[in-house]
Amino acid sequence: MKNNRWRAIAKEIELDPSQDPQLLQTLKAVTMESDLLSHAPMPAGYEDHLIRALRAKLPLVESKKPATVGLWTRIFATFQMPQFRLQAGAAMGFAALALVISFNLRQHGSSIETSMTETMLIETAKGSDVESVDTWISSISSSVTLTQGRDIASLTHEITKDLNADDQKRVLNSFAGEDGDI
Amino acid sequence: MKKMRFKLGLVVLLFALPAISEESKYSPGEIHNRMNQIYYWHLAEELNISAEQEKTMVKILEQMQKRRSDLMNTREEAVVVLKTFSARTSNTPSQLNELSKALKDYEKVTHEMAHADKDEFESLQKLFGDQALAKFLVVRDSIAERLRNSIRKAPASESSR
Repeated sequence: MKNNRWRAIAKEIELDPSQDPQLLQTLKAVTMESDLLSHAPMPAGYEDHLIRALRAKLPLVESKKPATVGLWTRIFATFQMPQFRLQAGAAMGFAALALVISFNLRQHGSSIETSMTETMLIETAKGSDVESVDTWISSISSSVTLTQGRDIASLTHEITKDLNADDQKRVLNSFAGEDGDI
Repeated sequence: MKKMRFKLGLVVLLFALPAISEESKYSPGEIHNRMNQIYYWHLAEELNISAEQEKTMVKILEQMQKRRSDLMNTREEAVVVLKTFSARTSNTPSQLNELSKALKDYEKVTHEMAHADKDEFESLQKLFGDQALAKFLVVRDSIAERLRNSIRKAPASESSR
C-alpha cells in the first residue's frame, strides 16, 4: 500500500521508527515529499537542497547514521516513478511547491505536514477538471456540508452531551487544534 | 518555397507539440487514485492514528467510496430517464411505467446513500472512538470545502487542464 511506504523504507534502512517519534515523522514527510518529486523531473541541485533541508530537521538521524546522504539517496531512488512525467511547466510548479514545503519543514517542524498533504491534495485537484473533483468529493461523503452553520453545532452537542464540563472542553479544544482553526 | 513551408511547418509543430502533450496527462482514474492516496495520508496525520488503525481506516473508506461511486452512477442513470420524462408534455402508459421504475431507482439510491453514510459512521466510530470520529468528520468536510473553493478560484485554463 502506497501510504505505508515510509514503514517499508524504515525497515529497509534498518531503522526502528517506534524507538524514535521524530524519525517516524520525518520518514512520513520524506515519503510525501519524495512522492511529490517523483511526479516531476528533479531540477539540478534540488536533491542537495532537499537533503540539507531535511538534515536540519534530523539531528537524530545524523547522529545514528553518519552516511546520511547515502541514506536519502536510497530513499529518493525508492520513489522514482518514471511512469509519471509532467510537462516542464507543471514540473517546475511541483518542484517550486516542494521547495516551499521543504523550507517550511525546516522552519516549522512536523506540524507543517498537515498543510503539506492538504496542499498536495489541492494541487492535484487543480490538475483535474471540476467535474472529476466534484465526483471525488461526492465519493468521500454524500453529506460534506456537515460542518457548516447549525450542523456542526448539533454534531458537537451530540458528541459531547454525555460528558462532564471538563471533558467537553477537552473535546472541543482537541477539535480546534492549537490555533483554534481546524 | 517548399523549404520555406517546411520550416514554417517545423515552427508550428514546435509550438503545437507541448500544447498537444499537455492534454490528458492523467486519466480521471489516476487523478482519483492519487487524491485518495493523499487524502488517506492527510487523515492519518490529522487523526494521529496508529498504523493498524490507518490500515483499517483505508480499507473502510475504500469500500465506502466504491459503494458511493456505484450508487452515484445508478442515480445518474435514473436522472437521465427522469429528464426525458420531464421534457415531455404527455406520456404513454408504458412510458409511465418506465418513469415509475426510474423514480423507484432514484428513491432506492437515496436510501442506500444514507445507509452507506450510516455504515461508514458506525465502522469508523468502532475503529476510532467518538473524539477521533468527530475530528474525522470535521477534517473530511473541511478538505472537501477547501477543494471546492480551490477549484472555483482556479483559472479556467488550470481547472480544465
